[in-house]
Amino acid sequence: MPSKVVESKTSGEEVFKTPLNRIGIVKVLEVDNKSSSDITITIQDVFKPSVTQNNPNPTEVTVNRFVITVKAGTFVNIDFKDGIEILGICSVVGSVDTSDCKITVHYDFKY
Amino acid sequence: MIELHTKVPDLLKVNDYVRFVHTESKFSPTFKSNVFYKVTKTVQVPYTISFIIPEGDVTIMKLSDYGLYPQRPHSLYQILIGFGGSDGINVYAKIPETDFILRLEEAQFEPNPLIEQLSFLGCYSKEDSSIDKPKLIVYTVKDFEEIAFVIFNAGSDYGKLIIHTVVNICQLEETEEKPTVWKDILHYKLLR
Repeated sequence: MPSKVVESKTSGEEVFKTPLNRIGIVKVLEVDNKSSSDITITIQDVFKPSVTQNNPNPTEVTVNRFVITVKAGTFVNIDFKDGIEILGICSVVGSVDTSDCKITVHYDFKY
Repeated sequence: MIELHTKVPDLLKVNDYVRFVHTESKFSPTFKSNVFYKVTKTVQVPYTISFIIPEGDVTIMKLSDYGLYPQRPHSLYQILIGFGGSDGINVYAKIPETDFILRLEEAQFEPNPLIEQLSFLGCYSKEDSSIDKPKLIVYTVKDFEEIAFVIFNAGSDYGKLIIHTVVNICQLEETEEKPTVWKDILHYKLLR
């Protein structure tokens, strides 16, 4: 299973891009917050919907798929039983810019 | 024109025979009804298309917009289709693009994605024909009427529908032979 480690950034860090013919699945999230601040981590899904009856001119949307606050100096490991579905680009946003908070995302793709 | 099989169907191959069946004399501008055609060449082209649809919304996929109609008069496209992606996405077939192909005999029982009780009538989903075990086949020929899929997201969030197809491009030649085994391709009007 592929994984990527990113740092907490308020501008967000891209983790993976879901191919057109797959759905991305976030399986495990690990947050190692060695900083002195509590940090809120958000997993975002960024994609452009198709043209539909209700929206003939769609624009890119960002959906928050998961949010967690990790206390300063703690480590959390979350194993998502069914996984978190990602339709487009998966990115991770932290509430604080710091290199002392490492976020590891384990993911996979499915049909 | 459209068939849902109970198991993964075999694709047409060279030296197979097909017969187009319609009550009228011509099935299409090229192919006559009730005449045998022999498959002289095949090429299998995988092709994946996907849509992202908000919950409760509908998108229309016209097969001609995705190149799924032959350009050569003696070609037949046998399109094997499997669905994947998010749960709760229903696909309804329309031929021509205004009429649902699958419906019950009573007039009011035709699919309607916007009426809950009718939204699961006459629709395909990944449970019926998955990417691993595709069981849905659509046949197209040049200049045939438009076939469209109405794709409805009955789920509770944005959903992605992955449509994986294998387009079996078959070149056909009219034959005087009287085969003992052949594939009948029924005009959609015979399905109603």
